[in-house]
Amino acid sequence: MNQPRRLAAGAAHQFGGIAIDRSKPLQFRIDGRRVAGFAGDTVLSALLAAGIDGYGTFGSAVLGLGERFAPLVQVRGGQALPMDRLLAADGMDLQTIGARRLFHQGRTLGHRIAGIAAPPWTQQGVETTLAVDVLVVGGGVAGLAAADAAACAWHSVVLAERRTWLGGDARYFGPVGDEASPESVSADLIARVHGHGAITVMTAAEVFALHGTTAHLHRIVDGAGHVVAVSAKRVVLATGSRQRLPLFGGNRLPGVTSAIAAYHMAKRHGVMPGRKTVVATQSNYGYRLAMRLHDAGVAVPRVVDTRINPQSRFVDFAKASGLHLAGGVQPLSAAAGRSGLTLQFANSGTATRTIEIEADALVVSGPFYPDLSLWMLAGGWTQWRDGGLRARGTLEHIVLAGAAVGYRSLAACVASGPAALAQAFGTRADSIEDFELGAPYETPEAPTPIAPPTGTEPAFYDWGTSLISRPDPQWKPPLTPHAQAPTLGDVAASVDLGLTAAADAGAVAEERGAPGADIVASVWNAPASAPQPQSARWLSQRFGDATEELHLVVDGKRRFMRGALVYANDRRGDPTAAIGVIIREGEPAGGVALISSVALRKADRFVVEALDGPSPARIKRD
Amino acid sequence: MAEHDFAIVGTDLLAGLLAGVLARDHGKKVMRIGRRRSPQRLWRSLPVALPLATRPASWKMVRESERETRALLGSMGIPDACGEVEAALVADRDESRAALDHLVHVAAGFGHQVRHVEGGWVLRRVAMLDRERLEQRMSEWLRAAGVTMADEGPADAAVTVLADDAAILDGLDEARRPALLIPQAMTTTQIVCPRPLPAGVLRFVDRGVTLVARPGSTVLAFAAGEADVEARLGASLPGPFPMKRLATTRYRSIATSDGAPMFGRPKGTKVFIAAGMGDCAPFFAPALGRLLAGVTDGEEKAWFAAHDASRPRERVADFAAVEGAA
Repeated sequence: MNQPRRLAAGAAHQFGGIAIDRSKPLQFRIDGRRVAGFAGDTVLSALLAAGIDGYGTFGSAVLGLGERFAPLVQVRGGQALPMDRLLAADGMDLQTIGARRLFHQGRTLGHRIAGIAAPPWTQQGVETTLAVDVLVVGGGVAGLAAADAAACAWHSVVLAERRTWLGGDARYFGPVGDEASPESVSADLIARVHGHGAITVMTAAEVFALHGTTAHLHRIVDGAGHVVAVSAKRVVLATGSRQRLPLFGGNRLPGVTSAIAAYHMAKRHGVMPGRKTVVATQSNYGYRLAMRLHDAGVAVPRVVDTRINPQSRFVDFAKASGLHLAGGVQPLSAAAGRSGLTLQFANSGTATRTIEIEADALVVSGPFYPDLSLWMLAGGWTQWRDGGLRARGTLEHIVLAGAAVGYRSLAACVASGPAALAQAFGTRADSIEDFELGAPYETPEAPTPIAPPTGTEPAFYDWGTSLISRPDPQWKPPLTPHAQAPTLGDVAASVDLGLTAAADAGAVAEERGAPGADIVASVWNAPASAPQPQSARWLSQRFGDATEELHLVVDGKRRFMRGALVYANDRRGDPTAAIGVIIREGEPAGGVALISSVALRKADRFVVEALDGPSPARIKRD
Repeated sequence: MAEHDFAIVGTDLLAGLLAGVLARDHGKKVMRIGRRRSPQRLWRSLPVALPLATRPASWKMVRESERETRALLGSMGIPDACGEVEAALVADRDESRAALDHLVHVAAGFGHQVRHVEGGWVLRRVAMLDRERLEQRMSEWLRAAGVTMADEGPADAAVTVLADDAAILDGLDEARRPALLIPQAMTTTQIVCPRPLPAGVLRFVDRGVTLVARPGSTVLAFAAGEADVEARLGASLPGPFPMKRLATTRYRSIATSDGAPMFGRPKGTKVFIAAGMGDCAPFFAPALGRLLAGVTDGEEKAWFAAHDASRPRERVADFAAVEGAA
């Protein structure tokens, strides 16, 4: 079975895939198509290895598949499950969920995307409830260190990790100087965590709700989804960071992928972004990835960097490797080409096209921002600081650790795990130094690249399901901008574009990023009495200091509506000239009016101006 | 000698319009203090000329203010920033239904077309401002009118006007705030609503809930008070349930406990407040401008005098739907 995007088994830097077992090939069907893979593949990685990297169309835009942006799948009649957390198994017969074209082939799943519904498990009942001392959300180095520290302090722990593996993103950044490598640090922490009997490790387990210190998570075990509630005394949110999406037209086309996703897909599953891959970066780590892809057998025709003349050890290594580098250049647009993507690049900050390349894939690197989704879901605040959204304030018994706080260095992230735990229990924590060893000698990363509008393809603000794009008269998204909850990346992009004031960014993120649970039908009965007596207050002195209640009639049949205005016979038309008002319907006809005593001295014939027309009226004499 | 005649404090529409009117139409030196809220923020008020008022004099003020506001927007170059909407008022309690019966008869007397619906009334062609259009135009218009603008900071002005609820809550501590001003917990929620609302604006006066139809099959729901918010929303929305919530914000607003607007200087303070106008607030800018510039007269002068913060309120007390005062 064809796997055109699979790297060689012995590819350099373990880019043959550390999670897959090539001695155990497998096949499964998805929407009737046969897909091959290996044991250890997720459904998503197998699809990408097979060259199926398109989700479908969103309006006129074609969108690529990726982690956190893929249709749910189900075995016929079975549970809906996410393909990035579901391990592929031989003989599976899967269907994707959502509207799609019946006849499609090639590299797309052919969906017609009209908004992403909340996954069904968010409405599902809890199957199991666990009570522990500490829940750690996130299996990166900070979460692992927090879980380890908790277990060492004799706490019972659940460690929940969304991905199917532990270790987080630290490996992407590589070792710095004499510091221990992320590989060895992660491996050591993972071994320690597995060695503690007090720690229950749950991978493929995504926390989707956090009420106080009780979390609801969806976990996949042996191909079946389970909703588990974890009630903890303390919660450590080591949710890591996410990578921003550079803003340019076509930035969500199939073949465009984030650097961090490309790294993990290659490292874990031996899947390359494309045979011919351009890397666009704004930081030094993009060069590291480009070199590794190049060494693993991927053709990297160009590495473009937003920064002019960047200085970095990675840049020097990339030059030495023979890679073709271009500084002061950023993506201008991507479009579907004859055999892949037509990529245009411009001098940074301009619309002047300087480079055009045909390639299979574009790997884009943006800055990382703390993933505070659960923090906000729990009621935490955010604010714009240092060019991005950061956590603000505190939550009772819930603390943040690692990159979610904003720590950048490996040592700081590791140290923040125990420190966060200490903070959660109100004990003294060591101070954390966040020192990036190479920083004094290296060009700092640039902000998220933003290309001028080109009017060809929509430019989305972020990866994921929110699908918010830059306002563009030539592109009408099928969803209004507020139809999906924005990510913090969306909000940050809006700030970068000047559409949201930086001072409002935190509030926008809170308002829209954590809107609360769905609203259910309800019956509400008004309290028996009004909060304050007010039956006549709004009539008080409306017609002067003295008024009289009189029964007005016109004949034996017509009733006057409550609220109808009463005029002296010659003063109709201006409600401010009304001398009275009907306060209740009369029996058997007419109505009881409240009338100015002063006016009564001058008039004994009236006009009652009701909504069904005026009527002459007189005082009913018993 | 103060640098400015007036400092208008507030982020909402009334503050901007009032600052512009004072500077442009009355030749005053004006400073507007308040940062423009980003359009992605949820609304905290609904700019619609629909007072919960039963007194003819108040309706007359609102109708006249509505006419003047349309003219003002025309002079700002955005005549289309005032549209029209059908607005329904619905009550659960008998006493509230009675108030609404009185309200609609007065409204009809001032030219509104009304029709009866289950539990309440619908008013046709109620003026509603296009907040986005107005906000987009506001800064440029204020600059052209010579208004000095600042996001925050102290005001060097002869008169400081607290022109929206947040400014009053921030600028007047509880001890100096008139007792009639009641802080209210508020929630604004945006909800996916596939079914159309029966009217563009739907106000449940006893539930403290106002629903506003918005583009993209969504509804903005304003809920006053903190108790039973979910139940009141669930009872007021058209379904189908469950309904997806897109955004939520919580804040505080101010209502008057007697339901009538309040203007003037509270005792022991040097600031002028404009409060309790409810949804109609932005429409009061032209009349408030005349009041502050000292050129108001006739019925308008009498109406403002009756609603002065220092005067007895029996003659102006109106229908008050204050929920969950906190």
